[in-house]
Amino acid sequence: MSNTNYFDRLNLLSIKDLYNYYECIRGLGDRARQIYCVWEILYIFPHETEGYVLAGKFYNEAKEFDKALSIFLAGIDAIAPNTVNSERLKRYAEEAKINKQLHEKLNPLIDLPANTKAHDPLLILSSDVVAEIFLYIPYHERLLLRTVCKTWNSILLSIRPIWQCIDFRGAKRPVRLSEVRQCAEYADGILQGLYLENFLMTESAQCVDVLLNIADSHPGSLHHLELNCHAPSFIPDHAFLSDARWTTLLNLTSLKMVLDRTPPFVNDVLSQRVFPHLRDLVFFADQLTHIETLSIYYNIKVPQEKESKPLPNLLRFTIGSRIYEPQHQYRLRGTPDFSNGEEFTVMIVDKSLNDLLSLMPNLEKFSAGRITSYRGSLDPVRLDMSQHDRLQYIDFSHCYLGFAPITPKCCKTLILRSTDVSCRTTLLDSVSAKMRYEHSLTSEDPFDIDTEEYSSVEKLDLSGDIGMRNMDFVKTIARFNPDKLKDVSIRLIWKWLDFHDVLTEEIPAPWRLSDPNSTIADYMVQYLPNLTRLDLSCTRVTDQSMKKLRNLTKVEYLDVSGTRISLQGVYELLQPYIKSENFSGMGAWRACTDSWYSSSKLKTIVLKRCKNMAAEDMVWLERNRINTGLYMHDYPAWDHLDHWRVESLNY
Amino acid sequence: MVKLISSDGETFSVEKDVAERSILIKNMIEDVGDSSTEIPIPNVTANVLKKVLEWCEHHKSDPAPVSEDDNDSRKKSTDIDEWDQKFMQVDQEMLFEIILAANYLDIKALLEVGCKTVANMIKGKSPEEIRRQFNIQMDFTPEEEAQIRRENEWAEDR
Repeated sequence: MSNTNYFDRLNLLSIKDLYNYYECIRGLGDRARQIYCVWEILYIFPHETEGYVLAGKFYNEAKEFDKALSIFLAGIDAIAPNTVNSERLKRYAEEAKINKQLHEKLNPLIDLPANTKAHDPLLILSSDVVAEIFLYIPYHERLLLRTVCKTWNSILLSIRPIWQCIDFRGAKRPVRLSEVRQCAEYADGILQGLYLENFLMTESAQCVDVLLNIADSHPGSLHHLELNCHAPSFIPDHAFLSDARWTTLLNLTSLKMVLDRTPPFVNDVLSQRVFPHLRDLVFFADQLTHIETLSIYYNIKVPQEKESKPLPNLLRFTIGSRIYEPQHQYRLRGTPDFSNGEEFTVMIVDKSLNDLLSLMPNLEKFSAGRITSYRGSLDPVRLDMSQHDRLQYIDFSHCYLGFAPITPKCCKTLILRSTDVSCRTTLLDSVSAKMRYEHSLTSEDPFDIDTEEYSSVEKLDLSGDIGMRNMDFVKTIARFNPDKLKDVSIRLIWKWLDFHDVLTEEIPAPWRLSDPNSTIADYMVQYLPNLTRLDLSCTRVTDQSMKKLRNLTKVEYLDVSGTRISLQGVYELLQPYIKSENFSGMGAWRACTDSWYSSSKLKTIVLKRCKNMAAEDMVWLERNRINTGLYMHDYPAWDHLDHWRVESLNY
Repeated sequence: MVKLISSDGETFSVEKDVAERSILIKNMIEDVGDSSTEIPIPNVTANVLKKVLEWCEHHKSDPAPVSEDDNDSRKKSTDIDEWDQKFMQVDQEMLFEIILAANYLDIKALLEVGCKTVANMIKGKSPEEIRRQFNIQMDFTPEEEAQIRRENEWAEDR
């Protein structure tokens, strides 16, 4: 991929912008983002001398002279020899070398301010406190920290809770079985959790045996098992769970597995013949064709009353599928977050989900991704969860439901993202979006149930619902309790934006907050005064609407990404805090931000992909402590740089 | 009001609900049945106790923590609330004293903040940076260090 390619896609940042951005975060002292930024510059502009200078200087400042030196040397290799720039880099490299020698001579004295005493926490704190501290540190870092000194090595290894869960999620490369085996030894017979994401493909054949041996040598102690490995060849037929091996895993409380066909044990789990203590169950399909996913869920048998007792301990249940994207192969981590899926197909559970759910009376959290409760039926089944009186979290992202589900009275979170409930189509995704939209114009009200049902909902996500028009939205919102509802998301899914641009030519504008008089914004201000989070991204919210939204005084987080908001819109929003009459960028921002920061609840305005916002405006907003959500990894082309992702966005 | 006496003999008068952020003190008050009695805190010096009570005062109306799930392996976030972050900007000696005191007095939330603060000092750093941070001497021979690194090839490749 050439640099220009990146450039086209970014459309926002040039190398100069990157430098500005870097200077800005350097000013903020945000080291994590600085690292991220210098590496991105190097990656995108591998032949720019300035990138190497910046990166090298960064590591110089961080006193990591080895790294600085290697970056300068890499720079000398990367750019044309015998030029001014290569000479410059050579000079820097020399300096780094000298610095390094000096530093080694004076170390550690040089780092310690005279009156600060440094102490070794491991010698001061008790072992249970040390355990608690290290549980906050990622597993692979714990392994590395054994090399700090002999004392750390022996103390860390002696505290067993630190090693009880082998957790290689977020792996940047496939894990080797020998490593897993070695790590199991540190747990010393009380291994509680095994979380694995990726294996070397060449080892996947043996991994069954290895995992089995590990489980056997810790009989009954394993509580959590997560095999989030997306190779269909991984665990042939899931044989290791289909035989009598269950006894060693008897106490399992959480199980998460990627499926590539319905293994016999799925039905065993559901009929409670195995794993009676299970509290958390996740089945999801990955890297599969449509037909394959279909066969998995088609073969799940809902046990009959007589065969089985319900699963009273099960609190969280997730079922669904996700499209495998090659460029994301190292990105699978954690629980699948269906609500973020962008590509989707329909998957079928050709039997009522109601039956399945009735087996789980104490469910607290239910997530489904891309499943549908009916297939081409003219009489779709309405999902009824009203009897689940502990169910607080319901996520039906990308499911074709036909109706909004009947929720229990305790439901706090209702995610109906891309469910098209407002279209009530009985047709599957082969039908064009346009037809679905037309169908929606004649459909009945999908929320046609008692208002009370939704009285406890605090978070509502109706994103990507293409049938939703302004008045539908108003009607829908009116069913919720304005004292409770705090978080509303009505964004359009990004990929649909283009589609809607085409659509509007033929059909009256669908829901997009496009009303020139901002009546929707008015309505929100009037009816939802307690909102704290509002996501309006990819809608047609205008600068004018922003002026109205200013009156939502409790909002802390406003997302208007992908809209046509310009600096003027942000200005409308911040206007009460701006002192200067002449609003022309930098000076005025400075004037406003102090009063802004102390008196406004709104701390984050997400402005990703806003074409009318200039990069320098964003940088200035950032510098003035207004979190704009602008991080460089927001751009799809940079996804594979994931390991530089900065975890914490707070500063 | 409750009277607390630090190990070095200083007396602190605080509201009952502030003092009862500490489960230890709460139990002691219950045992004694009379909140006017002076309560000795033998393991905590005045300057640390003062700091701990400052924290308790600020957090006196916090809701009781929701009992954590048994699934403690889930990646824990080390995010710390802004006030607590400022509160923890003390030198290392004081930081560890506060953690010890929180542990002894059984103040779960304060212990948690302390542990997170230390975890943030360790997280994402190389062993060399850790040594510098805590003034630790490297005492491995290169061979020994290589041996440990070999055991966990993983760790090499952060």
